[in-house]
Parts: sequence; C-alpha cells; structure tokens
Amino acid sequence: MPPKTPQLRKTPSFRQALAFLLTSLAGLSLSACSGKKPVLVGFVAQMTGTQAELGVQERNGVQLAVEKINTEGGIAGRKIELVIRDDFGIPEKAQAADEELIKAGVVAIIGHATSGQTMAGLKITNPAKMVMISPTVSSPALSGLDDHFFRVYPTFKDSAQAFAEYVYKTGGLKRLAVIHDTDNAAYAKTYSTTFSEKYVALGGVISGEGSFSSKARPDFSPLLTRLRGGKAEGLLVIASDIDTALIAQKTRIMDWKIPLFTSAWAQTETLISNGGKAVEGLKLEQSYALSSSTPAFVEFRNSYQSRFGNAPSFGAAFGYEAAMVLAKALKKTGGSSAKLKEALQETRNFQGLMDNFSLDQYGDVQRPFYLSGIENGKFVILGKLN
Amino acid sequence: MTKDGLLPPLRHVFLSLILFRVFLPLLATGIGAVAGMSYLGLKFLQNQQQQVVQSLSRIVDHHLDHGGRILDAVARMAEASGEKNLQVFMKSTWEAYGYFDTLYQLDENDNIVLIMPPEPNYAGLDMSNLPDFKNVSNKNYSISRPFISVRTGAPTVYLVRKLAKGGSVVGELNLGVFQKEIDRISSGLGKDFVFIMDQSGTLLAHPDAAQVKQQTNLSNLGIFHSMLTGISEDFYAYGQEKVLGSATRVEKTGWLIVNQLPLSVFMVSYAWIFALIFSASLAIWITLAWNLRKRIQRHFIAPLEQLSRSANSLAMGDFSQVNTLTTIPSSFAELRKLASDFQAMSSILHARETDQQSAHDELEIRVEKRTEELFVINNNLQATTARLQQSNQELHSEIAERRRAQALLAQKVVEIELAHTELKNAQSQMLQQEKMASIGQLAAGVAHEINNPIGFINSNLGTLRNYVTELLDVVDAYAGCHSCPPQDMPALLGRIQVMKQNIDFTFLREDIRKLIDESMDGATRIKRIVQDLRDFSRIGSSEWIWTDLHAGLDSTLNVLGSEIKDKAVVVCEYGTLPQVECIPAQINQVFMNLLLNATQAITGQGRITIRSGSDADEAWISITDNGKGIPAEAIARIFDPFFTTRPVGAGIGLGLSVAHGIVKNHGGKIEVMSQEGQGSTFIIRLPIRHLHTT
Repeated sequence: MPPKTPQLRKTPSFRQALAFLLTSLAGLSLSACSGKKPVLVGFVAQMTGTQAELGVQERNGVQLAVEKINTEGGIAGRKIELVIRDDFGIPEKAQAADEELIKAGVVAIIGHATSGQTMAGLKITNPAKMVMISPTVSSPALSGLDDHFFRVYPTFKDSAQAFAEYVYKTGGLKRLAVIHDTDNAAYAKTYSTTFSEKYVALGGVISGEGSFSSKARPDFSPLLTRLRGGKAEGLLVIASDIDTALIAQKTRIMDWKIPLFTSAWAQTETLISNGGKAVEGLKLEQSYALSSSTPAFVEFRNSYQSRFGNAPSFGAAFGYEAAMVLAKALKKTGGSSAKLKEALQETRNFQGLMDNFSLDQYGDVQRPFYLSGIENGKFVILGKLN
Repeated sequence: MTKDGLLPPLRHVFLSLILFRVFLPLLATGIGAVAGMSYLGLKFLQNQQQQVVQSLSRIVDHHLDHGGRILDAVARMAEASGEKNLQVFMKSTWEAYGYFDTLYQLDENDNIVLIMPPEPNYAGLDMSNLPDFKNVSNKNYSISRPFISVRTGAPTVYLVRKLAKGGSVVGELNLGVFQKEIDRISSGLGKDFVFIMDQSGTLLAHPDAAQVKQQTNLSNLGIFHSMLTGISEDFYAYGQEKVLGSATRVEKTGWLIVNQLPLSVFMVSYAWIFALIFSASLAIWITLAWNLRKRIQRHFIAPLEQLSRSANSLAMGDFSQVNTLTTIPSSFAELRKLASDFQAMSSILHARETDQQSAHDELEIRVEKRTEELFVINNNLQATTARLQQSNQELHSEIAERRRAQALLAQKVVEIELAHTELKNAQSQMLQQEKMASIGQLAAGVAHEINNPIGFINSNLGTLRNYVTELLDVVDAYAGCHSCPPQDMPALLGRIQVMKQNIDFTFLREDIRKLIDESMDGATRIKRIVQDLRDFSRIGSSEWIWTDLHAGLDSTLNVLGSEIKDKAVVVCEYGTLPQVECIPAQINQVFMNLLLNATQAITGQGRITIRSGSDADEAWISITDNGKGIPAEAIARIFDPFFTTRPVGAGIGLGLSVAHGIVKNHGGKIEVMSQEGQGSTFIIRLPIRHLHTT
C-alpha cells in the first residue's frame, strides 16, 4: 500500500486525540453540576395549625421577594435559596427550627411571625451571631437591644397607647374588658398591659380580664359571659385573626352587641371571612396601609395575587419588605453573613412597599400604625395611631 | 529535515487512525443509539406518567362527585323533612361517609343551624363571609377553594348545596384522601413523584405532607404555566433540579395533577448504557492499540529504523553495514523489496563512489597543474599591467602637451584671422589696380581701332577736295555755255573737252564713288566700335537679364579687335545657344579675360577657336588657343589669385581668379584642358536659368 502521507498529516496528533478524549469525559461527568452555589436564607414561622395564616402569608411574601431578586440577578450573581421551617407556634419547636437552619448553613433567618417564638428563637440565634429579621414582631420587649435581631415592623408601644386613647376619648368608652391569647403571651400579654396602663391612666376602668390558650380550642362562652357580667362598654381582643373572629361571632350569638376592638395581630382577611357579620364595625390597630397606591405597593399586590391566587395581607407585605431589606444588606456583604449585622444597621430611608423607613442601631424601625375598621366586609383606614 | 521533528511517529499515526476511524465512530454510534433509546424512553415515561395522572384525576373526580351526591341526598332530606329527621340523617350520613369532616345546615343568612358532629361552640356562627359561598346556583353543589382545615390540618373544600326552602347544606370535604393516594403511588412504583395543586397552585397533596400543611404554593413551576397557557413544557426546574413531568387538569375544579421525575433519575439508566458503550469502545481501542503497537514495532518500525541506520552509515561512507539488511525480519513483500532495492542501490553507489574517487584524484592533479600555469600567466599579466600603466602615464603627459599646443594654435588662429583681414583689404586694393590695368589695355585697343578708319577717312576727304575743285571748274565751263553765243559753242565745247581730258574725268568719276564708299565704311566701323564699347562697358549694371552670349562674345571680340587680330585668327564655330540668365557685363569680362589670356599665350601668329553649345540646362562656351599651354604643375593653381606665368609688370595675375569668381557666382564653373606646347582650352559652363540662391 503506498503511504498517503498528506492525509496522515491532516489527522490530529495522538496527543490531541487523547486530550479530546479526556476533555469529553470530563465534560460528561461535570455537565450536571454547574453554576454558582446559592445563598441560603432561612425562613421560619408558624405555617400550620389554627394561627397558620400569618406565617403562610409571610412565607409567601418572602418567596415573592426572593423570586423577584433572583430574576433580577440575585446576590452578586448567586441566587437566593430559601430554607423553610415551621415553628408550629410553639417556642421549643421555634428553637429547634432555628438550630436546624443554622446547621443548614443559612446566612440569615427571616422570622418568626410572632413575638413568643421570636423571644425563644433569639436565645439560639443571638449566641450563634445569626442575624434574624422578623417581618411582623412588634413586642416592645425586643426594642433597644443591641443584638442580631432586626425587624421591619414597629413596636406597638406607642400605637397601643394611642389606641387606648382613641378608645377612651374618641370612643367614649370608660369600661373595657380585655381578652388575650396566652399562647403568644410575649405579644398579647405585653400589649394588654401597655394598653391597659394607658387606658387606666387616662381614667378608664378595665372591667374584666380574660385569657385563653388558642391551642386548647376553648369554648369562649363562659369567658364572655363572665366579662359581660363586668358591665364592660367595650371588648378588646388581643388574639389571632381566627380566634378574634370566633370571639366576635360568639358575642353576637350571645346577643352581646358590645363594641369590639382588636390589635394588629388579627388584621387579616381571615378575620373578616370567619367573622361574618359579627366583625362589622370592629375597630382595630392596623399596620398595613392597605389602601396605599404607591407603584411598588400596587405592583406587589398584583404579582402576589397572580402568584398565590389571593390578596396579600399585612404579613405578606412585611415578609416581602423583610426579604428586600435583607437582600440589600446581603448585596453589600456579597452574600456573606460576615458584617451582615452592620450592613443591616446602615439601612436608611429604605423604599418599602407602603413608606420609606430606616433601621436604627438596635434593629428597630419607626413606622406608622393606623386605626381601621371593618365596613361591609372590608377594612377601611380611619386614621393614624401615632 | 527540520520539519520531521514535528511529524508524529508512525506508531502515533496508527493509533490516532484507529482512534478516529474505529473508536470515535463506535462512540458516535453509541451516543446515537443512547439518544434514540432515551427519546423512546422519554415518550414511554410520559405515557406512563399520563396514565398515572389520569387515573388520579379520575379518583379526584370520583371523590368530589361522591361527596356531591351524598350532600345532595342530605339536601333532599333537608328539603323534605323537619329538623329532627335531618339531624338524624346527617348524623348517620356523617358516620357512614367518613370524608365529610363536618356537615352544616345554614339558614338563609348563612348562620349555622345544624352542625355535625355537634359543636356547641360553633352553633349559630355566621359563615356568610367565607369565600365561594355566595356564587352558588340552585340545585347544584359548588366547590369552594381548598383551605387547610383548622381542626384536621388537612386540605378541605366546602361543598355547598342550596336548599329550595332557603339556606343551604354545606359539607367540609376532607381531601386528605388524595395524600393517601399519592403516598400509595409513590411507595408503589418508587419512581413517580405525584402531587396535586389547586387552581392557585397551592398544594393539596404532595409526597412531602408538610408542604401541604404549610400551604406551599407551586404556581411558579413551569408545568403550572404550561397547563394554563397550553404550551407543553416537559422539562422544568423543581427546586434546584431539572425534572420531567406530565400533568392533567381536573375539569370540575381546575386543579392540577402532576407526575414528575427528576431528569437525573431518568438519565441515570441511559448514562449507564452510555458508560458501558464508552468503556467497550475504549477497551476495543486499547486492545487494538496494544496489539498493533507490538506488531508495528516488529514489522514496521524496527525494519524502518534499521534501514534508517543503514542509510545513515551509507551517508557516512560505511558500506559494511549493508549486509545486515538481509537480516531485517521482513514479513511483507514491500519491505523486502525495499531492503533489496536498498542493497542494490548501495552496491551501485559503492561502485560509483570508487569511480568517482579515481576521477577525483585525476582531477586533483590536473587542477594542480592548471594552477601552476595560471600562476605563470598571472605573473605575465602583472608585468604587462605595469607596462600599460607606464604608457598610460606617458599618454597622460602627451595629452597635456597637446593641450598646451592647442592653446598656442588657438592663439595663432587669432593672429591668422587678423592677417587674413589685412590681406582682404590688400586684395580689394589690388583688384582695383587690375581693373584699372584692364581699362588701360582696353582704351589702347579702342584707340588703335578708331585711329585706322579715321586716318583713311581723313586722306580720302583730302583727295575728294581736289577732285571736287577740278570738277567745279568743269561745271563752271559748262555754265558759260548758257551765256555764250551759239557760234562760240563749238569752241567752248572743244575747250571743255580738253579740260576733261586734262583731269581724266572718267577715272575721277570712278574714284570719287570709291572714296565716298570707303569713307562711309570707315565711319560705320567707328560707329560700331563705339557701340560695342558701350555694350561691353555696361559697368555698374548688375542686373540678371536674359542674354544672347554670342552677342556678348562678338562685342568683346570687337572691343578687343586689334589686340587679338595682331596675333591670332579668331575662328567662331558657334552652335545654338538659348538665351542665358546672367549679368552680361560680368560674363563679358570673363570672355575678355579668357580671350586676353589666350592671346597672351600665343607666341608669334596663332589661332583662337571659339565654340559654343548647350545641354538641357547648361550653356557652354569653349575658347581654345594653340599657344604655349600650361605646365601640368601649374594647372591646379591657375585660378589662385596673384598666380601668373607672365613676366613681372605684364599683369598681376588676377584675371583668371576674377573670371573663376564670376562664373562661380553664376553657379557655373570653368574647366581647363591644357597640354604644354600645344595649347589650352577653357570651357565656361553656365546654368541657363539662374538659381536665385543669393
């Protein structure tokens, strides 16, 4: 056979062939695992049980924010991945959830939804120097502490006093009965105390006090009957939406047409859907400027509606804001937990959904509370409570 | 040669040939096969997934329908009978049919009238604000959006059936049964990952039950959108992984049932097949490579290397190695042929080299000899060169000398030009002298010519006066006759007769006529001479006119008449001449000079012959004398100015020179033929028509 030298020269050298082989092998084995590692962010709240609504809304809000951040390029090119845990509304489970999240390697935790679980969880996260940012915790007990806790929700200290003043002066009610949920005592009990002290200071009389455990699913009739006996002119319920709705219904079933008041905790659609006609005329402390028409808020409401099939409540809005505030700080740290606390402390004039706000060095925020009422099955803002 | 370093060795060429012609095609075929298989597998999987979701969809449908039918039965009972009966019926229904968590009867204001199981806490509750309660048509049950039941923690829907009499019956239908179905499917096949979403994307059933309880919403999944928009999206992201899914929609509620499989799980089996094909191909390649490597080494590379070594030693001139070629293990014809060819080539080369060596030696000697010769030649050449250099130097000095001479010459030329100018001045003076001499000669001739007729006219006139006197006497006698008487007449006549005899009257009569004729002839001659002289000496006239040369010759001859006649006879043998354009005075001078010259050449009595004639454009006149002739050595110089053969004082020798100048000026020439002692002939040739060049 005559040698075909020119053809042989065209064939790549042996070394090239081997290199090609190895490259294709490497390519095959590596093709699956490509892309940057995501930034892990924890979310924890009560998402099951009777008081799940707030936590579910917060999670949905956070999820919406994260999806928006990720489509816009994430944190320094890395996507945020949410690690979601349920605290079941139980302090012990809240701590366990926080521990799990820390172990999972999250850079920060968004949560909890309620003060009780937050107080418990901070005992785990603060020693671990883990930043926790809560969407909806308003307990004044957490104010002014230089720790790793932040929140985008204002403390109710001032608003509760303003609410008391409203009830006493504008409402003209001199005797008030108060019910609170002991399952979230950190909030409900403190709120009750703050409100009552102011109300009494103004000259009002707390005609009766009652408490219950939501988890026990009690019959409210005896409690309400007792309070009715105290000749109360108004009833303040410091409980979750569903419990407030049930208590309201109960008063009406008892044919006790007493004016009803509730704290911002119950400011969800569930209050209305489960309250029926009983919640008509109910006055409540509202942190959610639901009639806001800023472009950011309108866009948020629309995208929430299309993403989750229902209207967002305050939990969703504050959850969204908490995630956005955290994302902005994470962008400063490049997605790292190091110096994240400092970055959050520098949050100034942040453009929220409803207003602009700043975080102070203790991770607290000053934002308005509103007085709202329920009219024809809808929340209506009646005025500011500051 | 340098390029050889870049070329791959034969072994690598073979290996890469096998790689590219065997291994990679095998691999490509394998990949193609795997791709085809995975495509078919995909279709099969989707088919299977569809079967699962369809069957689940039927279960969901059935569950809702079943609940609806039961609620319908309760409603009929409520419409037909009283509250007591209804309560019993509801209780038995609730107990028998476990999927209604709670059954309510609501009044027209949506307040709870009856509740099963009994729950005093809820009695009378207002449910009017619950979503999906308001848009319920009569007779048919409606299904609310699913929610998580506070009591059971399971996804639940309200089935609402309006009552004809007002109010409604409501059943809280527990959807937890779907979770059980999904758990069953998941545990059964192991591969299917099935979940149910409501119309908003919130989970109703999911292998991870906690997700359902937490109301996780998966409306962001690709498949949710593809089912909404109708665009098929088989592959979509689920959390961090890519999945492959199929879905169906529950007509009644718009819920979505999804069956999905992580792509990695799907791919893993095909990855195994691919790995198998890859390793099989690799094994074939390696085996082939290993086997061929040895054979190539033995059958190709070793012989070729030995051949290369032999070629190298051959190149070094070592022919001893060639014999080892026979030991090359050549297992195929071409290589053996190559070896034998090489051997043959080597022996031929060897012989050729021996020849070349001897030729080379011979050449060496020749070159040496030639070198010596060349050395000698070179020496000679060097000597010649030295000589040449010397003569060159001499030449240089000579040239310098010549240059100096040239400079002197140039100076001399200037001097000569100066002298020439002086000479020209002298010549014009001499020409004037010559002209004066000619005029003198002419005047002498003319005087002589006129003198002769005047002499005899004078004597004739004297004789005639005597004759007239005698005649007058006779006449007087005859006059007396008139007055004398007639008687005296005879006497008188006699006397008269005597008188006539005395004077010889007859002679007288004769002689008088003769004398008068002779005198008239003389006068005519003088008249002609004067005329000729005038014609000849038309001095100053320099006009070009058409002239009869014969007339010019005749007048010149007449002017010169006596000068010539004394010494020669002039014979004119004129031919025919046309008129010639010339300046006649100048031409006449030429004739005169030549005739004078001829005359002077004659010693004693001679003869001058004048001939003439013409050609087409030329007239000629020849003047021949039979005088002493011109010596041969003088002929070349006769037209030079101041050349003369005459004794000093007889002329300054400008005659011929002037004639030559005039003829030349007319565009003609003068030819001379002469023989010493026999005479000379001068021929003047003139162009008939003057060329007005000047």
